[in-house]
Amino acid sequence: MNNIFFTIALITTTALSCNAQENTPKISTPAKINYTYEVLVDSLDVPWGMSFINENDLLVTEKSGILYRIKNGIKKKVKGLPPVYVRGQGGLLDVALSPNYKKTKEIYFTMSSEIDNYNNISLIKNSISDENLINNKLIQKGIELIRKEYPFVFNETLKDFIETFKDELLEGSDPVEKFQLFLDVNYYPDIKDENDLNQILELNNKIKQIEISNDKNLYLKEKKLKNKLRSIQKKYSFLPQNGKRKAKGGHTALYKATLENLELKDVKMIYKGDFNTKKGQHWGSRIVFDDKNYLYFTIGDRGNRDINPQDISRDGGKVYRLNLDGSIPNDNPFIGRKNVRKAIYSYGHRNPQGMVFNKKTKKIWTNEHGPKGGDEINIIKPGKNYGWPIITYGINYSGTIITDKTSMEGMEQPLYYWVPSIAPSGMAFSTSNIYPKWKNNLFVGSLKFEYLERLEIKNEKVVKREKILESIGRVRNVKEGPDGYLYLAVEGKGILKIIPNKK
Amino acid sequence: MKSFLMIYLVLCLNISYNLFSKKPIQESLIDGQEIYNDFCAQCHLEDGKGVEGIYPPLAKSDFLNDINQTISSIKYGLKGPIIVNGKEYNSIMVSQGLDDEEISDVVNYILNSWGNSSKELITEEIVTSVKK
Repeated sequence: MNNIFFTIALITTTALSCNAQENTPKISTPAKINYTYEVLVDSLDVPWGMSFINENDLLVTEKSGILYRIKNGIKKKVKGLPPVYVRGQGGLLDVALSPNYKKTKEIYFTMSSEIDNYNNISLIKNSISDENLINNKLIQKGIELIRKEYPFVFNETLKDFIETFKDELLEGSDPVEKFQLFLDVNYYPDIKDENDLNQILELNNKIKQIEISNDKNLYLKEKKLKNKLRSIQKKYSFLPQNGKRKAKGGHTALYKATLENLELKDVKMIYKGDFNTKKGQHWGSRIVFDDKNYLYFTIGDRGNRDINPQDISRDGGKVYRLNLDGSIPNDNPFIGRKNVRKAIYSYGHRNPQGMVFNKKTKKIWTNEHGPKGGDEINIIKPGKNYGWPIITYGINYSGTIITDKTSMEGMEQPLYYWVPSIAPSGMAFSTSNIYPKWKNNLFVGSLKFEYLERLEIKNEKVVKREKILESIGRVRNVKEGPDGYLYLAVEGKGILKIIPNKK
Repeated sequence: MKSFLMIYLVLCLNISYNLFSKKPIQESLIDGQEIYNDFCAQCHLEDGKGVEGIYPPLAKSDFLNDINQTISSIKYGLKGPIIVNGKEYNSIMVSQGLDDEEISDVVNYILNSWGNSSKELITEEIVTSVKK
């Protein structure tokens, strides 16, 4: 009997201590520090994003909603930003120069936005490839009528609809009627309530019979049945809903604009998360490009962890991939699937605030804020599920358990997870020869422990971790500049440049 | 006579509406807790104890004695050195973008949790009146 108690006690203590144990390799402090730093820009509160035009000229975002252009250490405000929704962790987030910046002067930025997607016509224009189609008067009128009837319809749904029904629409068919037909056929909801399901099947049967009979006397009855059918379907969130409800709160939006000295021109929203929410957490967001000129950006789970990250018909908890003009690449992983956000590249994320294109392996790397003990580094693969919140190495900050699973088939494992959590933000590889001993090392900012973390990686395994600039302050971002130096953005301080000591 | 009665009734309704339109404390505390866990707990922690030297405590915190200062720091943010329960803190808290009702709720929650207690009910109007 005593033995059993002993065993239980042993198991419990082992389990507890495992939970609290620091993940290996343990963080180390360098024995000899042979670098210093210099302050490039000071007096910044929360420098969220930064992007270099050249080593003496860079753009920096201030979370509170200011875009600075900093030339030779002097910061000036850039005019022309759209309204920023500052709430909780949200605000003006990342900024990135287009890979064609030298020619086009185009930049991209992400921010929290209150704008209601559904009324943003420029977004549809972006996602329809055929210019003539979208400029056609009949099609434009059709979109307008459908929006009146269905103010909460996804742009992608409209795009699919127009492309499917273009011939009928150009011939002058009633757009709203065709749209309803399109919804019935293509967006049949995944209804879990059996009552609703039975009712829908029954109504559909009755409507079909009337349609087959072609009896004009039953027209009114058919209309009534259709209305009833629609009212049931509308209960399901991803279906377009009637009414004047404005989705309160905000979501992460991606913008593109042209930078003319200190002014933004041609500001265009090219993606916006759905649905707006008043939650303050997890907006992401980082923007990077790969070597084929695809744009990747992230949105966090928006404080709705049980719904958003695993549902690819909704935004949040995702890495997205777009063409530079904002259109969706034809080879995105969920192209061809019905009722999905086709810009999604990977899902099951919590709050990715660090992302970098690994020039050596040509892969996108991210880090994300997990729960307590669940911060992660991931290599992003198309269409993959990174597991949040079904699997995680972390627990709630309150100490309660989220899930007992750390792995599952069909879900990706992180390259590394931090225990304890460091609250990672920003991510960069050192690829230059400025710091010979750090070549190809990964750098990640720690908000929580207020240092820059250096990670040595061999065969996709972290083999060494070291603190750089201990107690420097909350490190929000890290970038390798065009001159090969590493630059840090530190909250309450500014932009710092790491300088190796001369031998 | 009829119209007089109508006016009288409307007036009565109006007065009673104004009398009872104040958000009851219980409701405010529930809403305040939700706001707190969403926007504040990451740094000040769910038990309001904060992290010594980095995030000042809210539980039994002498900073809360000045209600105006408390509201103002949530409404507009707070920056620079402060002393809380005899310890110095020097950091930034940015404005969280809460509206005045949300701020009144979260202040009520903070003033009545973790051993804190307050007789005063903070209303949306009080928050509105606090300037930078």
